[in-house]
Amino acid sequence: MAFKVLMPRLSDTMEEGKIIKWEKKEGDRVEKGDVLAEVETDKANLEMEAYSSGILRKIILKEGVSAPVGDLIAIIGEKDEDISDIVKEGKEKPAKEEEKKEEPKEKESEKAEAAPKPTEEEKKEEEKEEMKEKEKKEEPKKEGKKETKELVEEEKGEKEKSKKEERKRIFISPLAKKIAEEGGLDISIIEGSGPEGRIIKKDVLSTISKAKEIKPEIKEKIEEYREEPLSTIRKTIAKRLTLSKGPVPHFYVTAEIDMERAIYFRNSLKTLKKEIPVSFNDILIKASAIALEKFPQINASYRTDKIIYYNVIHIGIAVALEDGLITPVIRNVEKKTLFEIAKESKELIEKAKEKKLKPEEYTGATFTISNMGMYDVENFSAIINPPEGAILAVGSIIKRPVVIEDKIEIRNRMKVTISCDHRIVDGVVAAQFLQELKIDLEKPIGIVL
Amino acid sequence: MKDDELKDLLYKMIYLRRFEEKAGEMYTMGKFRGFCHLYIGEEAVAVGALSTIRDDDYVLASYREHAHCLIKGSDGGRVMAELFGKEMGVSKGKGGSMHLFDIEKNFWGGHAIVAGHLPLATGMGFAIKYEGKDQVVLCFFGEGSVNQGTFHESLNLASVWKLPVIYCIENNRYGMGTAVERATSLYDICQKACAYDIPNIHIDGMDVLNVKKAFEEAVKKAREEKAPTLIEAVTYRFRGHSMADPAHYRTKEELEEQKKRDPVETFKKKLMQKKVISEKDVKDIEKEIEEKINQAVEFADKSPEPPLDSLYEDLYIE
Amino acid sequence: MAIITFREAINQALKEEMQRDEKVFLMGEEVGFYHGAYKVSQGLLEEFGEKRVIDTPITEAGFTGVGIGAAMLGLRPVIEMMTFNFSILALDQIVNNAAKLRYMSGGQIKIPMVIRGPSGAAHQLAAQHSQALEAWYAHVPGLKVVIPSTPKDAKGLLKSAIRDDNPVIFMESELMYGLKGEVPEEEYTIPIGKGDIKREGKDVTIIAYSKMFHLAMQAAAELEKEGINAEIIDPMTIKPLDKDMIFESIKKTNRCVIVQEGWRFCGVASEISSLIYEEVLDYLDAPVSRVTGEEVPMPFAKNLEEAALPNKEKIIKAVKSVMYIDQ
Repeated sequence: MAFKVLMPRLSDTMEEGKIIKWEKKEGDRVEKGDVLAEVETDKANLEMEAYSSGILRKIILKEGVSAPVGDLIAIIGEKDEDISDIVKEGKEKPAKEEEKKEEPKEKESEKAEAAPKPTEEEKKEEEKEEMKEKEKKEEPKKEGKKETKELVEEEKGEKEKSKKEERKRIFISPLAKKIAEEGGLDISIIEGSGPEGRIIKKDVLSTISKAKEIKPEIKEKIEEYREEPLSTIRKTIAKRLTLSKGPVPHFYVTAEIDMERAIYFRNSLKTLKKEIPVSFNDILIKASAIALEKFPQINASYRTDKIIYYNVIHIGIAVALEDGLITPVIRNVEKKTLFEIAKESKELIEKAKEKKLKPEEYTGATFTISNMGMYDVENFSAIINPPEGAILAVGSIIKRPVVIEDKIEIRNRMKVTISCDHRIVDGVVAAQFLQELKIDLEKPIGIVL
Repeated sequence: MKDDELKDLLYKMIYLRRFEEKAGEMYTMGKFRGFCHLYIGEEAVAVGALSTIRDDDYVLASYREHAHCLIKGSDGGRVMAELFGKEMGVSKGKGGSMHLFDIEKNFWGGHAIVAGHLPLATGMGFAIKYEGKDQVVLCFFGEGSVNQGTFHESLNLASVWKLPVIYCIENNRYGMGTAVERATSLYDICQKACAYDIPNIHIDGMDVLNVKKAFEEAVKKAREEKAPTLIEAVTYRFRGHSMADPAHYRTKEELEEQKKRDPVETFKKKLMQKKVISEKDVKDIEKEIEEKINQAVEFADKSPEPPLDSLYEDLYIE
Repeated sequence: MAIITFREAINQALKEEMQRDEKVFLMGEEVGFYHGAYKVSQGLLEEFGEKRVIDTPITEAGFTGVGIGAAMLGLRPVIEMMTFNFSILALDQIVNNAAKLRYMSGGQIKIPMVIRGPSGAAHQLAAQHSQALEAWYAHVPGLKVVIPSTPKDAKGLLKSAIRDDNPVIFMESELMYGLKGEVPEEEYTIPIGKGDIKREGKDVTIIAYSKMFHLAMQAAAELEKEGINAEIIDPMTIKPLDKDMIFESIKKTNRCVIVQEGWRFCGVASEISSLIYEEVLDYLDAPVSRVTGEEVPMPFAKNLEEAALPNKEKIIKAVKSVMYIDQ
């Protein structure tokens, strides 16, 4: 059996070795443990031993030649064994090394040939070139001063540029940045009071609160218009809904709902429990909650880099006031019965009209319903109350001719439009939500079960 | 001594010799990297010493410890696998050549800081005494260790507290490339024991029976009197300090002279002379050992590398 | 609840654990007949005898290694360093043996030992006796580092450390040995790896341990007068660190000051800062401020030593700077 002699790793850092001297020649008998060769490594010259006994049949790596650790460098075997396969393996590598050595020689000889003696024409050309070079050398001297001036000015210009660019770079604390983003504020308008003009939390907060202040404007002729200061409530609505409509990409889906059964349903409820009148709005609230449970993508809120999906359903009901609008919230609609909702909504609406709502009663909604049904409005689209993901605008119940099973019937119909934040809700989901709502309202018994 | 016991000593020394040769070959063939310190030439010390102790006695050694681990009873395949850095290695591939541990066989390492393990051996002696047990601790280290602070601290504590620890200096004359005379004042090292009021024994580490006799004495003393001993076994390594060593610090003549005292060859000749074994017996032994070692290499080759998620394993106990 | 000193708390922990488990022993310089260089081991020799309370020669590497060797065979040593300054002599044993033996052996060995003693500066002990080296030990995988600030924490944590099967570096403080505090009378332990919010607040998170914790409390009292409400977290264990507690606090306060006695460069505060920036960057309104010891060997002169260490004023200043309050 032939044994491949490989370049051994004789030290931990050795990557290649060179044979300094073969201690045995081809045809010699070798015993296991005999020194085969002296190898030059990165650290020292070391002896290489044979790991197998036999005849040194072939030396592949010549003296003075390097090879990487692990390369085949010799073959030990029996006297008459066929080792041609193994030899083929080894032949390729040393041949390449010889080629490498030959190539550089060729290139050198080429260079020598490529330098012919210059002819007269060439000489003239050379002279011309020399002249040109001389001229070139003189010119830079004259221009030299200009150039340096220009260079200096350019440098100054660049410095100013970079300063301007630096001023453009806004220093802001991570927290302040987050608050500004959530509030939809453009940080370039905020002045920073921290070191190096860093914008910090209080700067962002004060910018937000300053936005509430009215700047006194130049008084013009008073008769041409009437000025009325914004009430607090109006200011808040303005600020909040600008924050919403600005950055929030709204889309709208409208559906028409057949309200016959709902009307019948409501009348039955009236007779069942006279003391707690259930309004269409209450039915809508409960139906919306059921639909939201099935489509939780709508009961959600966009944040930078994430979406908040609420596990609870708090529905805000828009209530019109004399000078504005407020949205009391019914919390945990998913856990409340229709009667509980009816009772609560009545109380909240009363409180809203008396301006007696506490902050926890008008904040925290995950979805809002704006019902303008009492105003003979066919349809409208509402603006989402930030940071909610959607708002349902409800029109009036109007008698309309409708095609049912190829016949025309007069039915009570109601149009609803849902406005959704396209960053977190897609069209199909909104449509499916409305479909579900439709089903719940057209078969309202499901709401109570 | 009975013939069987003598044969066993020879067998073990031959096994170590062939194992170490194979380890060296595997290193140069690129099967593993890092350091590899071979025990070739020193076999008599490990074999002689460990033939005097029980399975439940404790052994610690330095980084030239393949021998002590194997003779204490570790499986050759698992030791080779550890050298190759494989999962089936005795230390699960986490230790390598210098950190072999086989606690089941009471081989407690495999330590690479010169003299760093001497206090550990001393502590194990302390625990034996604390628990009222009768084991002994054998602690092997090179002559270069005797100049490290922990050598002195350990011997002092073992003496003051009377601990059952046998400190064995494997004096192979050279710490890496520095001859002991250049590094050690009083390089008749075992004399240093008197500084700690400890008995010392100076032995020819190339003669396995010599080693065995000395250790029998020391082990008895440790077990019965709970007293430490310092043994200096003068030996020689036929290879360099590690695989990378061209050994310029000693002459070829010196090496050749020392090879004449090869512990394996001399003991083999002795046994053949006394007709305890025959040429044929030796051939059979060599063949059997070659088999075993090839199997060990095969086992190591086949064993997979440790899984990546073992990186943080065995760091803390939860 | 009993009111005892920090020293007594450690003494009680040692005593109770030695009563509970025969494998626990105390070893170190002067722990026996001298009753401890700082009298921490008072009475232990009388109760447990020389077998279990062992006076050593001055041989830190030696006796630390002995502790490790004993732990290897299943005993549970408590090795006392007279001060952690001297532990540097045993560093090779601690780092190359105690921390690594389990890992290198593929899990065959466990080292259930505690190395305890006072750490940090006292009064004018000068350069070689005033070092706070917890960062060195926290750096090494395989070790746990525990630093209690109160008697209650000291007792509960030391008991846990002794019962822990890993090598634990337990750093006390000479100046705190006389500190009194409430300690439960019944048996209790405090888990390693959990921090403690010792003062709740909303304006700034101060992370401080050992003597620095007490300075932080003083600073917080002063700041309260100015309407600044500081939350103080005592990590109690430096390694493994209770990161979640710190992150939750910063989410609340948006500001952080870390107080450490040791040298600034590569100290524990550097690591905690990095963790904060990695995990809760968006909650920070200001960079994390580190109040640390000055980067000099401890000078002897009283005024220089004071200047080289953190104090209440430096903490107050740091808090105000992260709050952007002009001073």
